[in-house]
Amino acid sequence: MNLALALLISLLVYLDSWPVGQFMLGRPMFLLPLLGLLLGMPLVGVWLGLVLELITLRSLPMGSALPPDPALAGVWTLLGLSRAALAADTWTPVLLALLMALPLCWVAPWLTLAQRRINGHVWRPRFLLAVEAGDARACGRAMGFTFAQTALLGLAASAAAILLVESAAPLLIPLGEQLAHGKLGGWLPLPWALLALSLGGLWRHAAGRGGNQRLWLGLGAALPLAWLVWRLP
Amino acid sequence: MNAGLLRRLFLRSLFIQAAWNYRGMQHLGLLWAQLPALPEDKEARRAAMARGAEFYNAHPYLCGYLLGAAARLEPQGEGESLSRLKKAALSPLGAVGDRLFWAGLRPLAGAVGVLGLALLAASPSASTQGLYWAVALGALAVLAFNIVHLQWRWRALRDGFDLGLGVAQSIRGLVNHQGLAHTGAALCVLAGLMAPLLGAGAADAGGLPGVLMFLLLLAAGWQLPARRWSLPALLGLLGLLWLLP
Repeated sequence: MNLALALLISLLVYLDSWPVGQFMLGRPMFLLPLLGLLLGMPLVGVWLGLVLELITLRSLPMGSALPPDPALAGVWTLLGLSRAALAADTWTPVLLALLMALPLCWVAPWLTLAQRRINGHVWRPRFLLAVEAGDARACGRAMGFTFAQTALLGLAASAAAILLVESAAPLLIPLGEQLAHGKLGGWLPLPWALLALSLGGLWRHAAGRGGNQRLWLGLGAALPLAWLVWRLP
Repeated sequence: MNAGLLRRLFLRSLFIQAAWNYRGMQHLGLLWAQLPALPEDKEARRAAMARGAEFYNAHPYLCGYLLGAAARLEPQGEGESLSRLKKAALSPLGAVGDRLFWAGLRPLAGAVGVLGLALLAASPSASTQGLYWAVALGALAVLAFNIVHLQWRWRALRDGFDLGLGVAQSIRGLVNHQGLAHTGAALCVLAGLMAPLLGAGAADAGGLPGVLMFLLLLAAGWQLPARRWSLPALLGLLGLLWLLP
């Protein structure tokens, strides 16, 4: 994929994640399968979307907290892998994508952290000067500069991340193959293991103070469906 | 005229976090959003801007209550009352918004999308058409989330503008919102529905040992302590274990 287009998509996801609107357009369960479909890597897109969404579903951006960012991490990984043009849409690229996207989930919020610090040290004093002068236009200009600089930093970080994934992917293929063919992977492939772990965490989070009562509520939904799945051919 | 002003305030309120910083948090975003509603008189405008730049941090979707109230009260010279309202409303707006949107509606929409993908991943004969359906379900979940949240944003702005200081009553009403009580239960049901679908996929991939490992990890996830590094540490451990030859 063209780098300019990849950067544009990353920028939109980054801006939506906190500075503008927060419309959740970058939710992995929707965006990554769609992007995977468009890039000709549907299997990678589905698995990346499924695992990243489920793992980070209970991480909440409350107050000034910076939870893991699955949207940006997933988009960077998918775009980087597509640029690396790995051979087939098979199980190894799925594991490779997870191998790179999961650490990126925890690294991506540093971009937001850096921008928030820049806002405080560079742009806040400009705003306060405008406030002191009672100058609404200067305040508007300060917002324009802040927004433009946020976008530029997002573009630069996205370029670095996509190029990193692109160049690291061929080197990590043996690791991806080992993950696919290791002993435990033969019993339960790693993506299923990640899903089980994160589903347990989500269930506990949803049960909250309801505790065991809500565990039974979930089991009440699970058992009939399990029976149905077992009876189906 | 009011409708035009409200539309401008609404569009600007979408940028409430654009200048977020650790000193005043969302204060610059709120200040910028209320610029079109500031008084014409220079001294009054300067005082209003100074009040607008005071510390502010609440849920971004609910900023409309205070933004609307500011647009009503500042031109009427009631800025000091607005300042007191702002200080009193910060905590309820933050707490209710976090529970309603971040801990409720957002995971719920995400879980609906995940359910579609789980169905697809668990099906051995998944086709491209199945993928289209899963993506469409995800898009529907995002759309539903946005319809609710944008409608809420607009209603908050209107309430603030129409009621002025009386918006405090609306904010008080939020604390007892019925939606807060049901989202956790709905999420539990969705998690329960996901479990057999994903379990079936695990059985398909690894047979009985696969299902047993799946259940073991499900229980481990339930017991996972809610510490910041516990999840990444466990994910790293899983990665290492799965590398074993």
